[in-house]
Amino acid sequence: MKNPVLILALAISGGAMALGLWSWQEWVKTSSGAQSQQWQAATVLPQARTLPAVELLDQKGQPYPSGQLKNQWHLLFFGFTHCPDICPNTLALLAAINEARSNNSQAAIQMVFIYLDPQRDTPAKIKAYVEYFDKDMLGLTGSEAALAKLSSGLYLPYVIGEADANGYYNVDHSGSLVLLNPQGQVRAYFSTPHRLEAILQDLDKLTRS
Amino acid sequence: MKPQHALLALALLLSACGKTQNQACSSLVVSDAWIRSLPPGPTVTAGYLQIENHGEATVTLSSFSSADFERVELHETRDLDGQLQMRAITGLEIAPGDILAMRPGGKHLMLFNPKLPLKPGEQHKLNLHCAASSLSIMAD
Repeated sequence: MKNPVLILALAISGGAMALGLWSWQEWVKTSSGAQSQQWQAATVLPQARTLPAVELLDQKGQPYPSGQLKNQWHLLFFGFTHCPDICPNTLALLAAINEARSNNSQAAIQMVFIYLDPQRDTPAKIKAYVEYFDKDMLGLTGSEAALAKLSSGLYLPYVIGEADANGYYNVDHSGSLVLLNPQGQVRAYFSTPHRLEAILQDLDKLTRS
Repeated sequence: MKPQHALLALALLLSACGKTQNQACSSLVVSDAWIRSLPPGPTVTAGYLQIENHGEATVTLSSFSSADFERVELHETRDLDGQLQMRAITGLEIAPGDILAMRPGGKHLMLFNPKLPLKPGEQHKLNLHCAASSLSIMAD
């Protein structure tokens, strides 16, 4: 990405979206009042919201419309494979959530890793990556337009950075997890820093409600 | 030399006297060094270690290298209100008695383009470079 105006525009829109999510989460916390006290880690929406409808691809390279993310609870995280610090940590966290739930005889949540870097992350690379952490994890990607629509609709901005002299670039992205209910609607967010025990407690209450 | 240049030189000299600099890596003790193994695909992984300065002077780490990787950089993950950014940092100073802990979610080594596929359980040699010397360690 070489266009400085576009980078600036993306940075500004990213900042605006981050501010929007923060203000919105603050409003949700205030408006849900005493109810918010019961949550250890989650920001639970007073009313579940519709997930933006976009066409995605799964790790087998097959079409996977976002509307297919329903009929069970899903937990979404956004990242990219050339992210060696936070992304593997978060994938390990997602795997640990299901391991703990399985030990407590609770139903597994479908974990979904959404790849924001379709230029480097092909479905074959995504398959190897997600299955290394959890054989049941779903890896999705899509066109830049589809990913931008999905992330902005969830108030989780990302910015693809400029390549360095060696051609390496970063993707700045949100660390939040998004919980979808079995109707495929956004039910709650979990923002960083993530604490496994707190997330497990909240997921237990949310998935039973 | 103009008077303002003389003043600047004096200020620099005084600041240099106030903080002793060690040009060598000899006072650094490294522990808990490990490299994350990843599936094939990404051309970059992360390394973590703890560096303690047992000396009497501040040590500046100028760079890192490894024969097993094309290049090694020092990076830091920053969490800005939930937005995660990763940026390269250079010229890391470690004061006497200080411990620099590289851990997941913070400072880490970026290990680019491994020359052979990484396998769990194998060790890799990492080199820490200071102005006048280098230090080699093994990372799990």
